[in-house]
Amino acid sequence: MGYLRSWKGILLGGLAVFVVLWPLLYPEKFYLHVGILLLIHVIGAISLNLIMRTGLLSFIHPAFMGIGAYTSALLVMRAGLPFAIAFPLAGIVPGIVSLIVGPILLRLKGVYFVLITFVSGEVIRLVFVNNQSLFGGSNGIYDIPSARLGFFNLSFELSTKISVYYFTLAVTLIICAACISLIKSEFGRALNTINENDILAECTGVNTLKYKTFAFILGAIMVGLAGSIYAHYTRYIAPIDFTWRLGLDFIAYNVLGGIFAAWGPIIGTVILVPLPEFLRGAVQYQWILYSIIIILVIRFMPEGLASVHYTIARIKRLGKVGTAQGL
Amino acid sequence: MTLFFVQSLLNGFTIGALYVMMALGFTLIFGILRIVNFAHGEFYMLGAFFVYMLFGIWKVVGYLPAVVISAISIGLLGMFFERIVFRPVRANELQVLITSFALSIGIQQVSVLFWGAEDLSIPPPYTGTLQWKQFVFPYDRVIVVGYTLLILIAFYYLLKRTKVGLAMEAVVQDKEAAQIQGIKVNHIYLISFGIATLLAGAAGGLVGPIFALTPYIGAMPLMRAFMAVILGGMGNITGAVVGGLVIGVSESFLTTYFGGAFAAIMTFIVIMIILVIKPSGLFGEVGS
Amino acid sequence: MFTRQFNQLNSAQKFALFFIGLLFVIGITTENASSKEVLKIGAIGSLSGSGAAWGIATKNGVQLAIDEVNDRGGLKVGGKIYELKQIIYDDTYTGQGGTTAANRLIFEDKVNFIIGPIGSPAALAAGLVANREKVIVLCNGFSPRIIGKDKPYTFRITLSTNEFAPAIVKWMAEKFPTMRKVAVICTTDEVGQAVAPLNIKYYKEGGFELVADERYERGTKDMVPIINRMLIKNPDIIELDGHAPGDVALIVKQTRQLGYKKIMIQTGGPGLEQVLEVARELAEDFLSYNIFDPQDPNVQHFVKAYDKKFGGFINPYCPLMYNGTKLLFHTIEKENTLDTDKIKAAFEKSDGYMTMMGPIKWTGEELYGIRHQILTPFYISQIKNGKIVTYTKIAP
Repeated sequence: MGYLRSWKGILLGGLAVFVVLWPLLYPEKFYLHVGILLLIHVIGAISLNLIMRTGLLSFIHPAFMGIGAYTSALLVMRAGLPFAIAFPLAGIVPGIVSLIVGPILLRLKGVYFVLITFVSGEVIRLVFVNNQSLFGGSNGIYDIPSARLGFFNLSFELSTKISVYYFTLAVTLIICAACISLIKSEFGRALNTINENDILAECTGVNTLKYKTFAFILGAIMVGLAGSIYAHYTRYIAPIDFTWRLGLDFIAYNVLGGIFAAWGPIIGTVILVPLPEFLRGAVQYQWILYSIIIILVIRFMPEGLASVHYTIARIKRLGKVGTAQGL
Repeated sequence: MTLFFVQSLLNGFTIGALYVMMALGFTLIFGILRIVNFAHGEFYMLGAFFVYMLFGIWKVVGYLPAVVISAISIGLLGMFFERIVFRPVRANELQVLITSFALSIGIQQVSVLFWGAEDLSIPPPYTGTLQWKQFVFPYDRVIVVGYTLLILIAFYYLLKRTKVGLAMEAVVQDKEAAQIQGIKVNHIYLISFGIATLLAGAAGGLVGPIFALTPYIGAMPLMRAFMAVILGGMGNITGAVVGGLVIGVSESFLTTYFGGAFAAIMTFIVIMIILVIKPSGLFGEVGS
Repeated sequence: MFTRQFNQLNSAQKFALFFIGLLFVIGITTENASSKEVLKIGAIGSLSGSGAAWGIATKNGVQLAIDEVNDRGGLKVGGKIYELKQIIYDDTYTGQGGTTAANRLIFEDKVNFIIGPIGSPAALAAGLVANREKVIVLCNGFSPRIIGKDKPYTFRITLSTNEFAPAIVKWMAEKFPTMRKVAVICTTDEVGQAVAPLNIKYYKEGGFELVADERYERGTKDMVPIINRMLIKNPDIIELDGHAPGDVALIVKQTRQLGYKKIMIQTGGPGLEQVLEVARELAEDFLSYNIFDPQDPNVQHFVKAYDKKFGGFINPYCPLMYNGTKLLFHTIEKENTLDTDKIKAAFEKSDGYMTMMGPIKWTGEELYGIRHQILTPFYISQIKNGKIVTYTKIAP
């Protein structure tokens, strides 16, 4: 109870109320659209965070989202399955794929891991592109029906933005709660030790491959679910929506917010997703400003915004701004 | 059939020459600074555009001088970026990756502002083709191979025979020991980055007239440089040369005999297999 | 006045202030006050990335049409006069980009009309959003699914392969009766999947023999291996279908360098200026579908206006976007309404409307299920002596 009354508790409570109530107070459809995309990207960022805590940058993450999206769309459209079944499968299928490739990919570290996940992501994308009959090829799948939740005769179609928002919010909250509790538990601490010194971690009895694989698979399942939500909301998916560029977005959210802060990925996403909308006034400069912002933030606040107190503490101590490892 | 076989081989070598130059710069930056330079392709692109301006638009110098001036300018630009953008974040791999990617997007978009998005071309300095029996060698490609060889020889000389080159190798082997010997490591980093980007700029300037120019042409050579360096081993010079040639030739053969889509997938799969079996590449040491 | 306080901030805080100030400045630098009521016309195009040439063509074409109306006082509708303003958003050539741009235009800016996108992923995505909200979309993209009965508010204002290929194939058969073997080359992406099969179909129907069908990944610059594969089969005609201008230019150059002397044609694109620019003397005799003849006296006003305002090269899609926008304004004034259902119906009856390239017709009932495909006269051009020469005008 003490926690709830503290600073943080009040802030969190206020935030929760805001997040749940604002669509009813400001039902501007465009804001709802950005809000839904934001929630989907939050899932992407926080699901990636698990594997990033072990020091690995995974570019195959958007491909898992794509697999989830295609699975859900195809199961509903071609196999006639209800969304209630397609949705969990959209998480399970990428989970299975990650279970198969994970142990192979995860033997690599550092830049090699980056490259192999990059290449794997591309291979998956090429599979989608080159299979016109099954996946619609480059043009993707069009006119996906909106999600329909229901049991027996009672069904509720998620066809309005508000309904999709609340459904996505519920899923996002559950996933965030799961991730944050994992991160704060012994599992999360094990992941951190793998990042700091994996050989030492092995010596103290942490089976690094097992933990990394677990984080990898969990991440794949969660982002697969996000893919399904995306598919039934925008109702059109194409391979071009799931390239490594999206992977870089997820990574950027984590870096900006702070990889090792529990709330880091969420904060990073909340800032970066709406940012292009603010910059639209300067249409042609949008991307340039985006890249300058990223470079500056990484230069001056490398622990991310969620850990800004570290930055302030270091400045107080050293009297100047520098990187975590010092100049 | 032998016509196409030899033609393929030749073609593979000419493209391979380009990949070698890109791979060399890329592996130099990684070997010495341990930075994965996502923006390396943009230096190639700028090299081509500088030659376009000097030789194609302002017409102030001939083609070769334009390539030299352009390469040197790109080298200086690279040093600028190393000092200002990369040095502060150098220690952290994650930050470097994101920074170099953001830099690449930034350079690309600034280029779009300057030059637009449509295809431009550099007036071809060498036209015509060499015909020998049934084999056809477009002059411009042959000459590119020639210049690349010259540059490689110069580079090898630099690395093995000059003080700077030896200092660079020392830094790769053991940074602290090199510092004790009096080598200013920061200077070596700066110079290495400059040389690497100079190579990329030269590649752009030489290959520019063969293909068309847009601000987006950097992505493909970057991808190929990555692959060549994986194949040859990160940080390994010989590996970069061999890797670049192998990628060029195999790309040429696979495409000629099996078609473009197949070649793309096959290349990726082979790279993945190599990464899994021997990630340090053909020439790297295990665990390097 | 605040210098002392400012100096006491540390670097990070100064940076944060600067950052906030930057956002503020950007947010403000948009609107101008105006005395007349403003009617916003929405537009979507790729303004970054490799599709930027088309996005800019859309932006410029729409703007020229808007300028014409504003210069003569404004758009007269329902007793009011409106000043027209273009609001264009970047779709980044993806589905998500098209959806977000359409959402913003429709829900935030509250437009009723959208011009663009050019490019199937964005056009398909934007069309989904727009049709649900009864917003008219005048777009382009090679996918045949862009228009259809399920999208009553979408019109395609550029010609696609189905509209120009049959006539061009027929012309080829008449002009080159001895050339029968066709090789087709294409990318593996949506252009390759939507366009090339149609070209192949029409060639086969026209009595030609397909000897090669090559695909490669978009972004490849070295075409020589693929070209070699085609040349092995000894074609009479090499068809470049829906390629982007830069790629066509490279293929023409590299194919000619390898010694191929027969016909090269692009039934798609077009990209003649780029071919000329990149291939130079090797571009000689290259044939292509063409949208627009800059020498035609009827288009001079457009060419001059473009030159004055933007300068530089006119992307061939620009006049089409311009025409479509002009038709929209004409229809709005004629029907004297902004109601999209009425405009939509009027569009469908606007056959015979005179554009600078000739009269339009609407078609598409058979192929797409709805008569929302525009038909305008088009050309076959050839490069001769370093210039683009207009060969034949084909009126549908």
